[in-house]
Amino acid sequence: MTIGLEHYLILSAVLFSIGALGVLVRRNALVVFMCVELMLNAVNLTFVAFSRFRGDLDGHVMAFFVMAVAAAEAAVGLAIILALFRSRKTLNVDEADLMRH
Amino acid sequence: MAETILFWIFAVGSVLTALAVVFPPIPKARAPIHSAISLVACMFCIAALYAMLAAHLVAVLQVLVYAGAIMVLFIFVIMLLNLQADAETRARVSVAKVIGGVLAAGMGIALVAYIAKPEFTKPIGAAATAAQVDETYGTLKPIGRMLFEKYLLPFELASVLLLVAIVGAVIIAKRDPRTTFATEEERQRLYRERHGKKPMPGSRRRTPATANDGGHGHGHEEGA
Repeated sequence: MTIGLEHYLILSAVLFSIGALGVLVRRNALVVFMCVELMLNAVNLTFVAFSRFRGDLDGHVMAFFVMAVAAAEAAVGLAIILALFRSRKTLNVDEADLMRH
Repeated sequence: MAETILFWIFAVGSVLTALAVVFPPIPKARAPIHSAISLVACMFCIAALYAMLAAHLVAVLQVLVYAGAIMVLFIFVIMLLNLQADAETRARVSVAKVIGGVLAAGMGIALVAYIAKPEFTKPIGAAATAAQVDETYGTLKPIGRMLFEKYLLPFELASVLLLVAIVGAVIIAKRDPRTTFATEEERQRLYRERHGKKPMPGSRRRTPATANDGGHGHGHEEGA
């Protein structure tokens, strides 16, 4: 049994769904963020798998850009989490639903 | 044959570690640090899959940028906030969680069912076998050429995006001296400077220094 494109695509679909599950189920803002990173990773795997089976390199460049966006998103998101924890003393996304102090 | 075995090892490993991110295997301690460590393991598994897909540069970047930089940033924040398992002590089952779980599971099943159909990968062409590539495929040189020729404008925009993210992160995470104070003494000093009188003891905000004490404080929890 050879490993084809659909194996990689199904794997990344499963990883993406696990990430979405975590975003919807977990209430800790940091864990929600980690699950978003997991979803981005799954998308990267899709890009790279398509790129390999098509034989071009565009997917690699796209994965590079996704990583840049993920880094920017992690920096800003963690800063928001720090500010949130400073004003609310909690990271529970259910308790941090007001946009004011 | 070896490729098949390695694929299944890393595929199962990445799925298991991804599940460990969402549902940490130690039920008592749902601290974020367990999720972070599991996510690092998951990223290493995905990096191995990139290497199997001959994406050498992306595999290295995955280890350096994701497992190295981004996850270290996460762990820094976890240590900075000194989080215990307080934010999510009890894994309560609520209606929202059930709905979210059903939606995510349904999305996963739908995606897998759609991808597994042979019509999905057929138009891509030769999907069952990987395309023939030379030994420079996925290395730094051809990807660098693409970045600076075909994708020059997106590359420059990405650098602007990173710059904006740095500035934004600094501004957001900076302590606002008007609303939060390191100590109660600093709050009183700033209040005197601004209003020229002592702050009323009853109307003050709870500052981080006193709020962390939680009742058994250090004495400057003066009577309100």
